[in-house]
Amino acid sequence: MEILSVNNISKSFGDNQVIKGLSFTVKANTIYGFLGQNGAGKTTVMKMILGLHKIDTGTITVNGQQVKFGQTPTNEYIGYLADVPAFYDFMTPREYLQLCGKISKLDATILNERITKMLDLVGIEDNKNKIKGYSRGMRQRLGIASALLSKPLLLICDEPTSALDPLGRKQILDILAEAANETTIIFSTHILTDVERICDYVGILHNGTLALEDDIQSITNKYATENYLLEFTTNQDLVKFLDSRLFKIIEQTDLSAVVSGCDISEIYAQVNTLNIYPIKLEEIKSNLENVFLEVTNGTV
Amino acid sequence: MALFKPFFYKEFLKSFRNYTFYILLILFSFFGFSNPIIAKLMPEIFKLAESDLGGITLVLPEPTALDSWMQFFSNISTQLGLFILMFSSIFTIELSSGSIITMLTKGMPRHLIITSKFAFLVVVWTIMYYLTFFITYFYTPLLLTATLDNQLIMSFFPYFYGILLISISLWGGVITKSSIGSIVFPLLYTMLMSALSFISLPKDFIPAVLSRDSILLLTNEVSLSHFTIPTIATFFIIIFFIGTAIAIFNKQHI
Repeated sequence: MEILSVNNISKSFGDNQVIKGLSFTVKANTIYGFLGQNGAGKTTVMKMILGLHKIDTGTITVNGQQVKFGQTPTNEYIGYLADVPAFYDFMTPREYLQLCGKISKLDATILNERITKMLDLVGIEDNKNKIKGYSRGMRQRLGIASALLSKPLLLICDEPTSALDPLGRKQILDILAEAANETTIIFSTHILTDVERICDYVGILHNGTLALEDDIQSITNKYATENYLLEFTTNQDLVKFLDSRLFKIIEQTDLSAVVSGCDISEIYAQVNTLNIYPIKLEEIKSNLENVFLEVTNGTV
Repeated sequence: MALFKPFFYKEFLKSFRNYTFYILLILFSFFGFSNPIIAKLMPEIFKLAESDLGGITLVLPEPTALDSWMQFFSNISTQLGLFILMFSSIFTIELSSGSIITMLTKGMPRHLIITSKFAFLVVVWTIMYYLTFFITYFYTPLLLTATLDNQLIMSFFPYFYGILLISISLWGGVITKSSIGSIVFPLLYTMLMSALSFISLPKDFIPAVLSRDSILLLTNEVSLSHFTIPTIATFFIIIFFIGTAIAIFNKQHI
């Protein structure tokens, strides 16, 4: 069953068309990694799903109900976690979650119990300290507690780990992985290792549309090619090797290059023919990062 | 109502915890006490200034309760200015910090954000205004004499004019998304009203009558009917500003 369906949406800001006929769906009880470079339009898409930005053309449905700009009924199905969540700093975490719960129309009889459970899940002490004194990691965890409070069908996370240190990132990813047992998550980020760690499906937003969409394993199997790192003692040797144009250059420095589009025997044959020998030859394991770079470089 | 109440309560909690409420309580109490005190001391203050007037002797009548109420009226614009200044960011801070996004994504309708904030401002203005009023009302007879009529009825009109400026302040914040807008638009409106006061046709019908002519009720120079049209006009202008603030906010990208 599809929780979220984005159908051929477009969005422009002035003359700049940020989203061009974007379509994708998110299945229930999956974690969908929504990838894209900074400025690709990920946050714009999130805000259109939340009804905070107007859609120029196309439709979005959440749990079968169409999203309408400026109105909030579909938000009752959604929990939202921003990259830097904002709170009412003068409140204690329980007071803040009580406010969120009342606005989400949670039953008063279960609200306090639910708040206790959420604070426990994210590891925030239920005390009288005000949110004002919270660190960035604590704020992010409280943001998750707030987003999950009403047991949303869909949790939208907009770069939730981008501002955190490695420990904070790990904590957030652990919480999200646990939350995925009860809800569907769409996880926008440009940190690819986070996606590899917790996501089931990946969509790569590029030039306003989905350049690639599939489950992670299929993507890496299907698109990632074998890459090789070669390092030479002189730049002349490197240039001579690359001038043969038998390979696709992925990355290049003064003395080294990452190439693809060939197999190891072809590389051996070429260096023998040219009579130049690299001091290093290493196969680079394919991962989502390679695919992402290739997609955003326009080679997929 | 189920969503209005917690958001309305949140505004109060904030005003208590950041001390805005208590600061206004102290300031407005001060104004309340100062009205009769300044009226009572005014002749003494002028006498002190006599030495600078090159031998001119000032003959001033004994101050009365009317002087205290004149002081009350002259202070209202200052009090209203302070009030608007202290709450100028009530809407815009939520936009700039992003806290409003969480509320909207929880399902809080946009019109309730505007109406709950407006209701909060009206309740605080009511408390503060009538605090000043009743302190002046009960303290004036202790210091000054004179029997005056209509004080309680009279108090409503400047109060209602204050609500109009509060609605303009909120509207200014919504349309400009800036606290500067919350300050500038009530100011512009006041200047416009001052300008219209010089034009003979509308000067008796504009909302500014409510603050300008209320004191005339104390001396029975005007009757209550003098305020009928300005009060009705003010009511509809308040509705207009809050209604358009909601309509504009509904269309804003956040």
